[in-house]
Amino acid sequence: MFERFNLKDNSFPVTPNDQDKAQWFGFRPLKREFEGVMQRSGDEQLRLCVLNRGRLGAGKTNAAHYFITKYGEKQNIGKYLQFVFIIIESPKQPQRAFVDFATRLFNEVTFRRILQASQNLRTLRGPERLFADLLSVTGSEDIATVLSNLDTPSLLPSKTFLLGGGTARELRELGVAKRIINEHEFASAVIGTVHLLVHGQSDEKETLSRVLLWVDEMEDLVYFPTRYYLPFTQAIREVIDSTNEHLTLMLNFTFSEPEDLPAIENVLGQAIMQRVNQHIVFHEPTVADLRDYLIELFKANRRNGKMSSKTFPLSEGAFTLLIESAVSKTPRFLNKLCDMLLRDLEHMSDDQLELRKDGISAALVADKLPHILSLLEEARG
Amino acid sequence: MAEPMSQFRSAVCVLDTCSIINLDEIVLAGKDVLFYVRQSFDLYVSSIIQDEFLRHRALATSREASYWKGVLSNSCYTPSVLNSDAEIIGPFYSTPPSFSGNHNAGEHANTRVALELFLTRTTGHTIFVTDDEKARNAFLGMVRRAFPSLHVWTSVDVILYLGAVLLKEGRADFEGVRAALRDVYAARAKWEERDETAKSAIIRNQRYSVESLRILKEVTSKWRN
Repeated sequence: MFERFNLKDNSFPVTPNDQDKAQWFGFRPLKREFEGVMQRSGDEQLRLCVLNRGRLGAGKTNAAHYFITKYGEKQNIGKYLQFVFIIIESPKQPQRAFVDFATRLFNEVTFRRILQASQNLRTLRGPERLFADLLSVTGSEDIATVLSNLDTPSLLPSKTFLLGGGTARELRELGVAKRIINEHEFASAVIGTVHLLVHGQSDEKETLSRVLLWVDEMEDLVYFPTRYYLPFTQAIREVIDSTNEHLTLMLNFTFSEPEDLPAIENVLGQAIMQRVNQHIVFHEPTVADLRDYLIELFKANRRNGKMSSKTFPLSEGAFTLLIESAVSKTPRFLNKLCDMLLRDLEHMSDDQLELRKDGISAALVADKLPHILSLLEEARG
Repeated sequence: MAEPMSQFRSAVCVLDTCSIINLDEIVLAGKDVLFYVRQSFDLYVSSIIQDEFLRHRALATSREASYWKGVLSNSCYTPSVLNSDAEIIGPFYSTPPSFSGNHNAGEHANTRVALELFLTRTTGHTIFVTDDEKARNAFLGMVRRAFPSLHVWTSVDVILYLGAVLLKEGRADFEGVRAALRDVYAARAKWEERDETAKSAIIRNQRYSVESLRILKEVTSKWRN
């Protein structure tokens, strides 16, 4: 579709997808801040809790996907064998918020990976010591029993147990007394799982890995009435406080005024806010930010490298006009704007578009922009 | 003939369905906010509110809510003169709607109730409680400008109003009122689309409400020291 513009068809994604490797364009100071977090995560053992605040479409979720792409496969990062990334969305069911949270976490990690870590540690430490270690971190005999005995035959009932289910027979076979029901028990299961992931990534020797738990859409807590919000934040606090090493917790918070910390504090509550030890704010982009962003995006999405200017298919004037109309907006807005503009121009001939000269003219873009901007405004672009 | 301002000292409350549902299950000083409303406020509603409440009954789940069919029935007022939406409410719109169907029907009817109660000197002031921001923007702002006796509140204002009294009397504490504010904002999820603009507006407004509560606490603390 965008072939004649020398751009890949999916050059302007609205949200990160699993098929394409996430990339980072422009916004270098922001990228450095995240790199700093990754660096500290590799060098320091103590827990880090980072609050990423930005408007919708500013790039918070993209940041998570970008850094998982960059570090997900990497070995020997500072003090750690590897980073174990877990990216989940905040719970959407206030009534069972922490159960929802734990379920998302287990499913994202996968039970097979938890099983592998358990098997590795059983081999390295022996089953009894593993049980004792898990009992010490979780405080629950039942959870320590299931996590320390995880193997292929017991995978399904163990999975059911960790998700809060299980028949009397299944529980008896697992050697546990009761299902896990309340937030505290689910928090213990999460804490035990983190212990396995931190220590059990190798079957040759005891190693340390660091868990990077990235929770998106934390602003949804605004829809939690107090009676559900308090137990949820209490359980999150339990996980944070019981995992004071080898964990980086990244919380994404979308808000139209990301600098307004008191407003965000009202939503997240003191239990979480007191544990945040770094803030990354996605400020409103400047003209220069958006310019760098789009030039890098164009460059990374070229079908071939032979084309002339950095701003192609746009002339310099058209490029400037486009950037100026996106000032105070977000990269996502700029992506949508470019996508709609190029789709709109796609049916015109190369001569009409002046593609063989300087690129699409400012006059042509100026003619198209008002309509596209109003469409984006209607759709709350 | 009575003095022109003889009704000035009396006030009534006209309540919208969405506010009843938003205030459901919210507790202050151990009692339902809706309990305070039905016990302490002089309530009037249009019959449409009763119908709307019954239609959305599943959204109000507290024990207190079970009394509200009767409460609304007893508070029902049918205007005898101001009985046409098109004639009475139409002029408050820049572009009047068709007034057919359910759209803003409760707010339109409640506005006629509020205006007739004032003009017949039944009351001097009407607290008009609604959380429907679209209705507020569409015509209620104009009604308020023409009739200053009509005070447009949201359910958040109800919490702050009650909170002030309960704080002053030492029956509620700051955190209790703050929790009620959180709950009333969270209740918007029952109605509103969860788009980012709406979410950001809730986060922003909640912050303003908590700031107001802090000031309110400062003032009421003068009675404690």
